[in-house]
Amino acid sequence: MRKNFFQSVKEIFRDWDLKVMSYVMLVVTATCVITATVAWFTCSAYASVRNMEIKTGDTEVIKLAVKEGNEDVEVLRENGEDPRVSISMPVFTGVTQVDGDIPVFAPGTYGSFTIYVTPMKTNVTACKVLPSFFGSKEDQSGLTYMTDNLSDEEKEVIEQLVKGHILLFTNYNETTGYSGLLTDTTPLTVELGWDKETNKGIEEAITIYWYWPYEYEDLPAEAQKLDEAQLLDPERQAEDKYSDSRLYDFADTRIGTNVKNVKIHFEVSAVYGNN
Amino acid sequence: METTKQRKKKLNRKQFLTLVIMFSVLLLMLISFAWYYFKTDKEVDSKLADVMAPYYLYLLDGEGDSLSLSIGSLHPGETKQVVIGVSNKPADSSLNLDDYLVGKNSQFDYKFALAYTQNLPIVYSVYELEIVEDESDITATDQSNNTIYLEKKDISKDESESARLTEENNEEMYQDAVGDGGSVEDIVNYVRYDLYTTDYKSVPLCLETTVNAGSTSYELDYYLIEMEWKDGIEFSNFIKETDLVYVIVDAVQPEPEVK
Repeated sequence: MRKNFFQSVKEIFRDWDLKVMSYVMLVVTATCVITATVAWFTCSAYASVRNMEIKTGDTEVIKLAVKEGNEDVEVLRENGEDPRVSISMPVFTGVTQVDGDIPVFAPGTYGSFTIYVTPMKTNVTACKVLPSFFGSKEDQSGLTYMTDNLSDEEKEVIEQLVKGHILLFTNYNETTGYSGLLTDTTPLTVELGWDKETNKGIEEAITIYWYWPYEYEDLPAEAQKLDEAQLLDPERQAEDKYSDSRLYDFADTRIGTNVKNVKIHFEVSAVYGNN
Repeated sequence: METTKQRKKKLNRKQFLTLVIMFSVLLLMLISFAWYYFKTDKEVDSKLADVMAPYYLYLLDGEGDSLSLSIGSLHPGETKQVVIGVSNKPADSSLNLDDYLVGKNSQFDYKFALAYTQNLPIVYSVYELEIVEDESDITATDQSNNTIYLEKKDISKDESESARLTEENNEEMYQDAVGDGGSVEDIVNYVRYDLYTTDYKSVPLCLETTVNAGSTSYELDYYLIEMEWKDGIEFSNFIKETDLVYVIVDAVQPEPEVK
């Protein structure tokens, strides 16, 4: 038995250089083919490839629209449009417009965003939605600043404070208030349905609520657990003579002084399952 | 024996190749599946929103510099004047020349209060100062010096609020002041609050910042505090008395409410 085993091992390693070479070449060829295919599909300069995708509709997995029943955002972008999610918020007293009709965020204000997601394949049973003030890519910060003179550390401090002051929630209820706090790392999963009769995906309206609490005491329960660096102004906190409530107000002032605009970035990905 | 070995060899090679192919296919599948699964399918941005400007309120002197409230000596029959400036721009000397001063449009109301103890029989009067626009009244030298002429205007206190704030010096506070051993009758007088919320045109006191084509303009409101001794007092009674005088400005910062 042992002799047989040893012999079989020897057999495997006979002409091992040839075998390894053929294996390596197979893997290399496969990698080249995959890379070429990926490059082919993701190459943005190649308009005709895109058009093919749309016409056949075969590669579309999920549809994202900014208005009910509207077209997919990528389709609109190819037509030269710039689809954006609208900010829905009531009219507030005590909030002065900074610049024309652009909506104004201030402590004490709140509102919501709604996106419309439709599955394009029967095996897309849900989607993951990740809204944030900062996109996944480096150049995609949703904040614009009043001045170019801020150092990277200062920007980092402000970004942390924005995350802790302008809060994003999945649910709002008259009686129970805000719940489902969203952070950069906790996407929202929403189930998607498929209409078997018409053989089309059912469009789902997904609403994200935003709220900038007026005072430290107004923070919803889930937000009170956030890191101090996101709630209190660190520079003033170092002076060690202010209450948390005052430090929250100082942080509001720091945001209001330095940040010109904010926008929310939404990332939507398909989740596969059995239908 | 030879044939069996050869068959075994063939089998081993076949098995081995099959194994390799299966493994490669599995690898391919994993790679394509992984890429497909973790790719963000769609993304979109919301529209832009502005962030409201915070309320910046500064108490300055008549020149727009830091205020130091000092009067020196007040002789009988003399009227001392102090010019106060209220602005949304900090004193020039404290500027870090931060770019944020190229600011945001902002408008907010404020309240101006003079609070003082009354140990000394002094009359405090608060006036608003209006810039004289008519250049015919200004002398040539003063024009070249950029001297501003200011005119006294009467403003009225918010009587009810002032009375309320003054009355808050109530029994409980008096008792706290004298402590357990003392009596409320030992208190000679109390702090007066004179609160002003509207200007001489009865418009709420307000500061506005306007941004126009990259440059920001601020406002500086002027106030005058006049002090003089009351008539017919016996100075020897007040040699050791002192008073505290406070000038207070508050931004009116209401919590946003849905209209």
